[in-house]
Amino acid sequence: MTLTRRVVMLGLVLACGSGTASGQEAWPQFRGLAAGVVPDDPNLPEHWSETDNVVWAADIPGLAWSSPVITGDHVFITSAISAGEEPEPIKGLYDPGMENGSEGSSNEHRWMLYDVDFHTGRIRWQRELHSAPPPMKRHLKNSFASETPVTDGRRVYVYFGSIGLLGAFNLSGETVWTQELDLYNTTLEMGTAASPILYGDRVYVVNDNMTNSFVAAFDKDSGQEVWRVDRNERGQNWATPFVWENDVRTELVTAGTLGVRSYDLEGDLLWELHGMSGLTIPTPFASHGLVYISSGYPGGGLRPVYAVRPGASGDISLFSEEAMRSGITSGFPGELTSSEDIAWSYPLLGTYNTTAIVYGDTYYTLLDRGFLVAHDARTGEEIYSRQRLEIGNGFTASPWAYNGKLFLLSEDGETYVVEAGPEFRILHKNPLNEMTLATPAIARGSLFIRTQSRLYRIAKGD
Amino acid sequence: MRASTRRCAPRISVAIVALVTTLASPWVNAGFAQAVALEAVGEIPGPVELVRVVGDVAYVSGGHTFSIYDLSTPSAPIARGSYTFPEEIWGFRLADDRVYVGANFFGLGILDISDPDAPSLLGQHKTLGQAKIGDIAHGKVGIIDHMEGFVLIDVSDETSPQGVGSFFLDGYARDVVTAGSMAYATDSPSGLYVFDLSRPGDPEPVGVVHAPAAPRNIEVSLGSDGAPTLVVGAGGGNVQVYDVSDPTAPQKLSTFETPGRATRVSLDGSYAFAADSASGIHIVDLSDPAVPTSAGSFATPRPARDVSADGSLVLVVVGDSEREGDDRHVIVLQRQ
Repeated sequence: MTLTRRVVMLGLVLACGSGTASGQEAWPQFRGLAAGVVPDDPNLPEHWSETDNVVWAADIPGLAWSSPVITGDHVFITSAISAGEEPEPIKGLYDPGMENGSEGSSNEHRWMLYDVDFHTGRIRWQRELHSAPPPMKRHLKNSFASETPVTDGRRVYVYFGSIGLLGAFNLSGETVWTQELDLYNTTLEMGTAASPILYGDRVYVVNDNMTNSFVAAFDKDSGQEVWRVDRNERGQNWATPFVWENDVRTELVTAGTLGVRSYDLEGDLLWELHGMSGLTIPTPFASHGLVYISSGYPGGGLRPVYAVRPGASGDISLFSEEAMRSGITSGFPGELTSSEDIAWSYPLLGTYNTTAIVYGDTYYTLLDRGFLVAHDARTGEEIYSRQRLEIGNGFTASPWAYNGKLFLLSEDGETYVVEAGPEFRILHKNPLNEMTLATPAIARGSLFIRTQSRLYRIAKGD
Repeated sequence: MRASTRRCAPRISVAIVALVTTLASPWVNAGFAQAVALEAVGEIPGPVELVRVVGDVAYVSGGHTFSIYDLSTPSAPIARGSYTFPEEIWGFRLADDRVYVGANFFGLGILDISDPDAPSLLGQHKTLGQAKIGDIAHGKVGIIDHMEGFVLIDVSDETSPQGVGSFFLDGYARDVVTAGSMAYATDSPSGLYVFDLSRPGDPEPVGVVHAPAAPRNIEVSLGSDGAPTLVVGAGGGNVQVYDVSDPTAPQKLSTFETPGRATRVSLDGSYAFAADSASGIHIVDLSDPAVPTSAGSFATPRPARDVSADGSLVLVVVGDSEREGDDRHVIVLQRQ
């Protein structure tokens, strides 16, 4: 961890106020500050159900797959509430066909921000940020509030791509500023999902769309746009950007179907990497001095994972034009390869919706259709190959880890608890019996899981 | 009227017409020097996504409904019976008087079509994901499912199919076709998988070809001894030919680049008929499967979405959109 990162985290901890003694005081953004990993804490739960080890469960109206973020006693969560009936989401991976594709709605929707009390689960305040029929469609499995907010402990910053609203709100729910961004469709009108991130005094937003893809930085105090850079993308990405503090510099890493691009914090391109799958969703993250980038549309002939070293410049693409065009002629996960700038890579290891996790020295891949794979995080050497969790169970939420265990939350709301280490072993399952796509949050000895209708605070009982 | 056979062994002696003369229909072959000439003689109304013809019977699906048409008079198809599933039909295969229908999240439906005026549902098997299509061999049905991959069920009792097991295909499983005791499954993009359904227990492929841009739709042809020899596919934008004479060592033999974007294919004799999107129907001569050659084309008034050929009849689904809207219907073509 660099000094800057320590300062940022210390600031967050101080801003979060008092809490129980725990290794993880706040969860300010999608996947937290360490890509799903929190320090070991004997208070953190390993068993739960709809009733067991549930401190509270709050009903959250509407349909949203954004994750909660937590600072102090504030648990922020967003939603989009329809005034009418909406089609039920369908789990799993499937072709859209005539009936399971993009969905519009003529019903009035309310885009909401909630502050839920950490201790009681009571809604402390709620803000209706917009009300109208949705101006765009969404994939049946997406929602109109899939972007996770981000907090610095003083404010919560919210982005709804479906209505083009970016805003900052203080801990009392008062508006600090709002920005109206233009509305853009994604490919096949699947809707939006990439979350905003915070770094220093800026909020960063990536909006890859069919007409005017961009990455932009906004002043977090005023909301003024500081810079904006056009991106050659066509609306096939839903990947949250990542600020990578490495030994060389701090950079903004963005994943995209037409190219992974890393910018300095003023928007100047540092390096790029071509050779991703046709749709890009996983979020870049860093560990062991590497940034891990992947994409894995199952119908794509290239579903790569790249572990990139710091200090790259220019085009660091690894795969040939021919491979990128026609795919790889090999079985899963393809051949382990590397280059000067890429410590290791597999052409077919990438996931579709989930983001991988590095825990200890191991890079774990949770494949969307229920397999876990383990590789050495530094070298990419295989530790174990595809291990089946359960046939037919789909996964969208990204995994998390603590206390020597991996937690893998299925779309059925079942969390598979798997022993971390060189041997694959499922320890048990924790059911919640409701569809779940949102990646959970962890703070102050509690786990926060959002199901389709509820937000659970789960903690080890006495 | 029965679906007596569903695929033909290579028959080199299929009707070969040397030249195309001017035809009366507005939808006729353009150009000349074509080995196979076609003439539009009739239509089956839509909405239709998929079509199969066996002898003088057409089987079509559109939306949730599977329908049968009598083509005894090709210029005047007569609607017979139909069956409507609760969910969208993604694909079907015919075997004698049974149809194996992939009906989305309903799973696999087994239809009895012994009475073409009244198709009836004999059995159902709900897979864990989206069921796309099924085909039978050796008393078992192989189903393509988007979550499970290749799913095998025992249909000894058709009213109560029993799951045997499944094998995960790496990408998106797309199609399955059987011949003898073999089942051939295609997965986009990971390749072609060969399963021996005479083997007991969970399905495990006996042969795999990892092929980028693997076809989404496949058919199999039989040699003179009745053994499967070739799998021909479309869906990657071209026509691909695989040698499956040794099921443990399938090989990609050749690729034929059609002028359009080949999406589906049908085999009849030594010819492959490709639905070639905006380019209409493209006919590929597979007399030498390692060196496919063009044997003609047929310009359709709207993009060709599916095709099926048997004997003198070639049926093509045309429509501007793929699996959307009600603009898709079938043009009945007759070989000259």
